[in-house]
Amino acid sequence: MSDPAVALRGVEKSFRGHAVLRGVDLAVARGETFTILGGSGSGKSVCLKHMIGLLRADAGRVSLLGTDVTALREHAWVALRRRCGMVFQGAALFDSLSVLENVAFPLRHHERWPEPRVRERVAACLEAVGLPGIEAMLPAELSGGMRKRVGVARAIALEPELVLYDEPTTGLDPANARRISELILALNERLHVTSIVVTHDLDLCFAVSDRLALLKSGRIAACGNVDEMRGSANPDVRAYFEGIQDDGEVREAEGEAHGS
Amino acid sequence: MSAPARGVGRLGDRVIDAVAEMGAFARLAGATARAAFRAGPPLRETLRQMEWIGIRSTTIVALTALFTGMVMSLQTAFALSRFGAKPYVGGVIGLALVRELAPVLAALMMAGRVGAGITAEIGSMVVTEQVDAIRAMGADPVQKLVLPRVVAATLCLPLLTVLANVLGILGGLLIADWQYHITPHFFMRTVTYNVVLQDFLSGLAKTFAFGWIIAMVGCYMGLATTGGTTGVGNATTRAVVTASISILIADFFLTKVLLSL
Repeated sequence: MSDPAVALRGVEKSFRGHAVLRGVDLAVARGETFTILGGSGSGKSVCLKHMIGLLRADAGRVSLLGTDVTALREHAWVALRRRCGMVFQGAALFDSLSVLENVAFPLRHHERWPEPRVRERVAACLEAVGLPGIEAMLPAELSGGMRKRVGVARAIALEPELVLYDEPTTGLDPANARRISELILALNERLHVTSIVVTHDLDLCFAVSDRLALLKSGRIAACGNVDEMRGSANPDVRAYFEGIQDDGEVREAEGEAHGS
Repeated sequence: MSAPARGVGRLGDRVIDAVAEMGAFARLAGATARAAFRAGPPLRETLRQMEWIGIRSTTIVALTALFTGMVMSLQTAFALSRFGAKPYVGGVIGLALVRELAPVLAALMMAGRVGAGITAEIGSMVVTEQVDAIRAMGADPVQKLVLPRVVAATLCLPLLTVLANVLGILGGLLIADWQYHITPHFFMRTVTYNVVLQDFLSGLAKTFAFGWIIAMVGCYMGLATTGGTTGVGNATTRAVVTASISILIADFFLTKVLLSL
């Protein structure tokens, strides 16, 4: 793949001697929606955090939007992160700030726009996620689904080239989970961004992905487009889609086995 | 491995951990200084912190100073009466408060209230990935979170200490008047006669350092939080203990330096 949006080559990461990533290789093309699947604790979020420099690899190389970021110093990340957005698992909204201030945070930090223009962009982003007019509310006053969508609004405020989603549907009811998948699709259509989604939700995965990869035991066990993966004979892929863990237990989370 | 060897090994590990922690603290302090010169503190957040750290600490500092002045008046007048020097209670209280007690007590009160609050707030932001979110948006958590708190605490503690000086002396004056019939006029004359500007300034100078310590320790412990909500609780306790002990140690050395000037 020439000039991928994100590429990981042999990335390894350990925490206190416990290896989480044991040589991850993957490349995400510009403009595609790529999903990383994996069970809880498989290192999906760790993988995602390497892409935006929140974690540094013990070994291997990471490139982001054409720049080798493996050993990039913190201050050098600013320009690159300006071109990316990230949606966190728990939304990570700033509790002490209103929705307006949360969504405006990246705008006020990176742009010297007049206040009316900031408010206009915030309103447009909230409109895009289906939550118009909630600027004055505080994160504590929002439901889980609304918080996630405000998190998405904040991530797209600077019209990024790449959006990273960390477990965007975890903890949401089916209606809100579906709304999030529709939102990811709509944003991709409208903004033509590259999206990388980390999830264990197969419904979301099959709804939004161009390609997907299964992370298992710290490595990419399989990678391909939705049809290839659905038809894959790889035992890890089959076991994951059929909801069977290594110890033979069926995954408990409701809805995870759909689409297998 | 024998038991003494294991003990030495554990001690060695602790020393290495302590040195590593001091190194990490020094790095954060350096990053804060760099952020101050490079970008400066965000004005709005700094004002918000000054309101929370300074104005909302007024009551606790005022009450502490008032009652400390009152009890000092009781104790000092009682002790001085043994030497027939009871009328000079104002001078003794004034010197003790202005040079030592008001700065240290205001700092300890602030360490309890503000140090704990800073650690709990930043620690919660760490465990809910809000600090990661700041970084992911290309902003610097040191400039956004640490610097406003450090600036606010460093500027507010001296102001609170001035208030503590005034209220402490007022408390002493009230008790000297009611309990020992020393007139307010005479009390204040002994205060102004014995307490000179240098005493006031030497007490005040220390509070800039104390304010810096409280906020830096609070922020460091908050940013180093791991282990969810339990981790936040542990970090908060450590922050208050570390800041309080650091204030007392720094007080000794700063007093020694200031006395030699």
